[in-house]
Amino acid sequence: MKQVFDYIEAKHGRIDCLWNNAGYQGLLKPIIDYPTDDFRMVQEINLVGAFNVLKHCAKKMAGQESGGAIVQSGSIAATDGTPAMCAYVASKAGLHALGLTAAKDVAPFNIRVNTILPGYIGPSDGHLWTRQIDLRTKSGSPYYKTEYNEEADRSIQTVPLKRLGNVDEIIRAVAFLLSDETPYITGANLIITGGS
Amino acid sequence: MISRVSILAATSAVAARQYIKSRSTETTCASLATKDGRFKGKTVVITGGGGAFGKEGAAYFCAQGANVVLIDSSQSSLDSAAERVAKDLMLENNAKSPEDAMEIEQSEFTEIDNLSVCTCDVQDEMMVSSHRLIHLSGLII
Repeated sequence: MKQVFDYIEAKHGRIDCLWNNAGYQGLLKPIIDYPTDDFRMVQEINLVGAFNVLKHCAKKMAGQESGGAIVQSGSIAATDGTPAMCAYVASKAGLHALGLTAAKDVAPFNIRVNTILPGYIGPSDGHLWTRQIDLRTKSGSPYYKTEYNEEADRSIQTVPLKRLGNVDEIIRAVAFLLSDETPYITGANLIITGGS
Repeated sequence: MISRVSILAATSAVAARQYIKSRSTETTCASLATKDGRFKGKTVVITGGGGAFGKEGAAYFCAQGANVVLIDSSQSSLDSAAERVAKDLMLENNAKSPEDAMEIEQSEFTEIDNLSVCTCDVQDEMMVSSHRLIHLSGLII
């Protein structure tokens, strides 16, 4: 990852903003059936990977007078303790905490670190939402319906605004936190869930 | 296009799917509707840049004038993200094809030329398999 940021710095001269967004959901299975290998891989990607990216990017930003801004992609699942997602929930909870401590460590370099916590998001092609509902119906967890439409209905009913979020609403929040409009916001976990 | 009121009333799975479908066009345009250049000249790095969030972020920040660098473990996903950015340029220039868009506003493509991608795995510090610039003029949609 150091080589990647060396490359970016060489190409553009500076790195102003990072959206530390890469992640892997892992399996949807109750914890007693959850494979340890997959649990470990989710932590490697969502937590260790995010740490590596943040570390190497912040090192570059620390050398800039203007500092930088970092946003991490967390999840409301981590604060809800969403069932059948133990690996993902644990990794994102770790990421939220990582953001809190990182925000303090890099504040002296004028670098801000914030984390977004999206809820149900329906991207333009609907892929994330439909896949998620499908996985839930097959998870074997008693908290989810086994029929697609029933589970989709149940999920949306838990959202006070009674709709999915859309990708634009995530992008705008990320842009807000990365922009110069929020110079005094750091170490924040921003919930984007339609109220749930 | 579905109205805001009906979006709020989208409580059934069918309505939710219709809502998602209806959003596809709106989402495509939104990154341009808010274009104000507030990231002009800034370097914005996005990991998971080929994913559902990443590619829309790429379109947004490119439209805002940023130098955007996408990092992803999948080269095909990165290519897809670059196509997504090119699609916005076509809409902005009211072009029916990338070639038309380039003929209309070559300067826009010069600016968006600063979209670059890195293929690597974020979980491995040492693994940088390849990186290359995507020049939109070379894209086929």
